[in-house]
Amino acid sequence: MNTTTLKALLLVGAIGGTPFTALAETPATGDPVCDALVQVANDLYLVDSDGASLARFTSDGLPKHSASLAPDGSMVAFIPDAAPSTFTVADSKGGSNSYPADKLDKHHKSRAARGASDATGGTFVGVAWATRDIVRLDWHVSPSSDRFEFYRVPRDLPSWLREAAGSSVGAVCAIASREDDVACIQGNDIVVDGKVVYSDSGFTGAPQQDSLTLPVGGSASVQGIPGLEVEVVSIASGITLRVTLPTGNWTESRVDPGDFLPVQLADQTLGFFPTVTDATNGIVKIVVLSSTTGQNVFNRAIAWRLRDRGIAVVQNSGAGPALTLLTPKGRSGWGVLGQAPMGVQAPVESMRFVTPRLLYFETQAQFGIVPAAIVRSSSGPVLQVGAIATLASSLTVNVTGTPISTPALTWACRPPDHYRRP
Amino acid sequence: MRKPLHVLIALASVGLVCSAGATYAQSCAPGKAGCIGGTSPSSTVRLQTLTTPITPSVVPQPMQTPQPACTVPGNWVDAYGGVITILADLSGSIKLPYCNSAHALTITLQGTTGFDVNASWSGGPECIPFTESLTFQGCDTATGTFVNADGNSGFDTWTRTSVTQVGIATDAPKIPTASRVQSGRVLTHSNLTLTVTTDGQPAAGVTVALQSSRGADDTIMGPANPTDSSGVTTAFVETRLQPGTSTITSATPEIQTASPGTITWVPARYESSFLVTCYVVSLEADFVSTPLIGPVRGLPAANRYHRGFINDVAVQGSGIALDGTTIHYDGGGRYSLQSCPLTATGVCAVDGTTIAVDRSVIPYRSTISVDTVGTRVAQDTGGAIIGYHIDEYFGTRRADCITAGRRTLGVEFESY
Repeated sequence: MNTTTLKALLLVGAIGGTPFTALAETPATGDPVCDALVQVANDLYLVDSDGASLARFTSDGLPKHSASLAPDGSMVAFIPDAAPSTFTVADSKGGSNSYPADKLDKHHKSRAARGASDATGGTFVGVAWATRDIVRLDWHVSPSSDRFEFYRVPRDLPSWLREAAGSSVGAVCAIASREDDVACIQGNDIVVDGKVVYSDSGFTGAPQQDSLTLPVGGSASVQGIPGLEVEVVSIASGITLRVTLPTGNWTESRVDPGDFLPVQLADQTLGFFPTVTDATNGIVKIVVLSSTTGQNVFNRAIAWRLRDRGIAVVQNSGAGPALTLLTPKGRSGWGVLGQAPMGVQAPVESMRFVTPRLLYFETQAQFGIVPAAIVRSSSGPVLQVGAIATLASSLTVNVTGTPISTPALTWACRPPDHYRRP
Repeated sequence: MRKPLHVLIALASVGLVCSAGATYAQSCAPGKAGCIGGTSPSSTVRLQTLTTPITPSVVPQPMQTPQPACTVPGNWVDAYGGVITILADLSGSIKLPYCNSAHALTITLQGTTGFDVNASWSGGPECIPFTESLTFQGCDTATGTFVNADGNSGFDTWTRTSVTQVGIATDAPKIPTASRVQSGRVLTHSNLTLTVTTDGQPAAGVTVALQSSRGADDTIMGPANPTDSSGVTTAFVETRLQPGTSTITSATPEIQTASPGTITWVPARYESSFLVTCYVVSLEADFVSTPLIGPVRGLPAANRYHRGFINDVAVQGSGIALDGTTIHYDGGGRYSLQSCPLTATGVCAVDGTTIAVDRSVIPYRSTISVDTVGTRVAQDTGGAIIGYHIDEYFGTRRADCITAGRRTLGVEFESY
C-alpha cells in the first residue's frame, strides 16, 4: 500500500518547543499515515494524499450520502439515496451488506445501557464510524438533540448487527472503545452514561448586564435590553423568577440556591442569578450576566481518549475553540485535565485520537491533525497543543484512469508504523 | 474603477468656412475659441498646416438618403484630432486637442437622418461651447456645420471607426456553498458571461473592466482572462446588500455596453441543498402510563408530571403538560414554564411557520422558501442543527413528522 506520511508532525518533543516532560504515556514518535475517502461518479474510494487509489469500496455507481470511513481505513459506511432508512457497510474486498436502521438487534449487555436514555424515535439522518468496529447511527429528534445508537460491525459483515450500547441523546455522543461507556454533549453538560460529569454554565467570566434588588412581587426592566423585565414571583421552595421577553412572551422557573435561570435571546444568553438578601422582608438580589456562547458552550464534537482514559471536547472561549481534556478522578467525579486553544477558526465538527497525543479533527472547511499532550511544567500538568498539520480538502485523484479533482470526504489517520501500545 | 464607455469619433474635417469675425484662412474648429491659432501645440501645428487658402480635404458629399439602420453610438474622429465617443444611451464625451480634458456632450437624434451635438463646457480658455447638426452620409460618415459660441462656424465631417461592444448575461443569484452569514447577511452571487464583438464579429483577446450601478455595494471579480476565440469571457459579482437590483456595464471606455447585465438579488437559491427534518413538542398525554414524579427542578414545587413526559421534554425541548401549560427544558437538568413553546428568537413556535436553522447559514428571522414545503421563517436554532440543515416545526403532529422523515430539498432565500 502506497502510504503517505505527514512530515513535521511532532509529538512530545516539538510541542511548543518547551522542555516539558511527558507524563506516563508512551512516547510516540514518527509520522501518522493518512488516507482520504473520496467519491467519484458516486463510488467511494480510498486514496493516499497524492490521489493514488488504494482501495475501492463500492462499484454500484448509485448516489449515496453520509459516507464515513473506518478509523483504520478498512471499511466505509453510508446511506444509499434510494433507501434512506437503511445503511450499508462495505469493505475493500468486495464485501458489503445493507441494514435497516430501525430493525437492528437492540440486545446488549453494555454497562452504558444503564445510563442510556429511554428516548426513541427521530429521523434517521446519518451513519458514522465511532470506533474501528462500531458504527453510530444518528437519529434527529429536535433542534438541540439527536439520538445515537451504536452497533458493533463484525469484519465478516453478517446479515445482522448487534447494538453495542443503549440509545443516548445529545448534540453528539461517542462510545468508548471498550463499549462500556457513552459520553454525550447535552446542552452545556458533558454526560457519561446518563450522568452529568462536567458542566459549563456559559457564564464563567461573562460580563454583568445588570444587578437588581427586588421585593417579592416586584419587577424591573433589565438595563440595556428594551422590553426585557424580570419579576420575583415567590421565594418559597427556591426563588421563582418570571422573565418577560421583548416579544411579550415569558418564561418562569424556580431557581434553587446557587443556581440560575438561563434566558436565550437572539444574539446572547442571559443568566439570572438570584439570591435572597433579606428573607424576612422578601428581598432578592438578581445579578444578570450576559454570554455570547450562552447555551452553545461546546462544539459538536466529542472523542474518547485512547484506552478510554477520558474524553476530549472543544469549548468555545474568548480565544476561539479550546480543546478540553476531561478525566475521571476516582469517586469525586470527573475533572479537567487540561485546556488549551486549539488553533482553529471554525467550530470543530468531528475529532478522534490517532495516538494518545495526536488528534485528528474536522471543521466545516478543514481537515487536520494537531498534537495535544499533557505535559508537566513547573506549575503542574498542563495541556500543550501544537501546530496544526492541515490535510487537503480536495485532491486530484486518479481512480478511473483520468485525473479528476474531487473533495476529500474525510481522512483516516493511523499511528506511525513503529507506534507501540504500552 | 469607473470609466465611461465610449466609442471614438474623429472629426475628419474638411473645408473650414469660418465667418463672424474669423479670418477665412485661419484654423477654425468645433469649440475652438476665436478660430485663431491657439497656444496648444496641436493647434499651432494645425494652424501652420491650414494657413494656406482653404482647400477642403474632403469635399462635402451630397446629402444621401440615410440608411434606416444607422445608429449613432460609436467612436467618431476628424482631422482636427478630435475624438468623440457616443454611448448606447446617447450620452457622450468629446476630447479636443486644444482642450485640457474630455467634456460631456448632449446628443439628440434627428429621427434616422442624423443627430445634433451640443457641447457645453467651461474648459480651458481655448474651449468654448459649440453646436453641430450632422446628417448621415452612409452610416459611418456624417457631415454638418458647427457653430461655436463666439459665432464662428464651419463645415465638418465625422467618420465612425470600429465599434466594440459587450453583452453581459447574468445567472440567477445564488448563495455559494462555502459562504457564511456575516453581520446577519447572506452572500449572494451571480455569474456573468461577457460576449464581446467588434463590428458585430466576436472579438478575441479583449480585456473588459466592469462596473456596477451600486458601486462599492457590489464586488465584481474578473474577468480574469481576456475573451476567447468566441469573444466570450466570464466574471462574477457578489453582494451582501439585499434586496436590490444591480446593473452591470462595461467600465472600459472603448467598449460599449450593448446589453447590460441586470441582477435582482433576491430571491437567491442556496447552491447546496438542505437536509430537512422536523421536530415536535412533547405531549404529556402520550406518557400517562409512566409514573408521576416531582418536584421537577425549575418547575413549581407542588406540581407532578409523568416521568416519560419530563424525559421527552428534555429531548424535544418543549412540551405541553396535561394542564395545558408549556414546559421548556433549559439544559443542565432545569425546566421552566413558558407562555408558549418559545423559539430562540423569543417568539412562539408556530406549526407551518417556524424552522430551526444554523445561523451561520440562514440568518435569524429571514424568510425562506423550501422546495415542496413552502415559505418558512428562521426563528429557532439548536446544537444539533449544523450547516445545511433545516428543522421544521410540526407542533404536536408527531405522526406527520415521522412520516415526513428525512428530506433533501432546495431552498431559496427570500428576505430578511
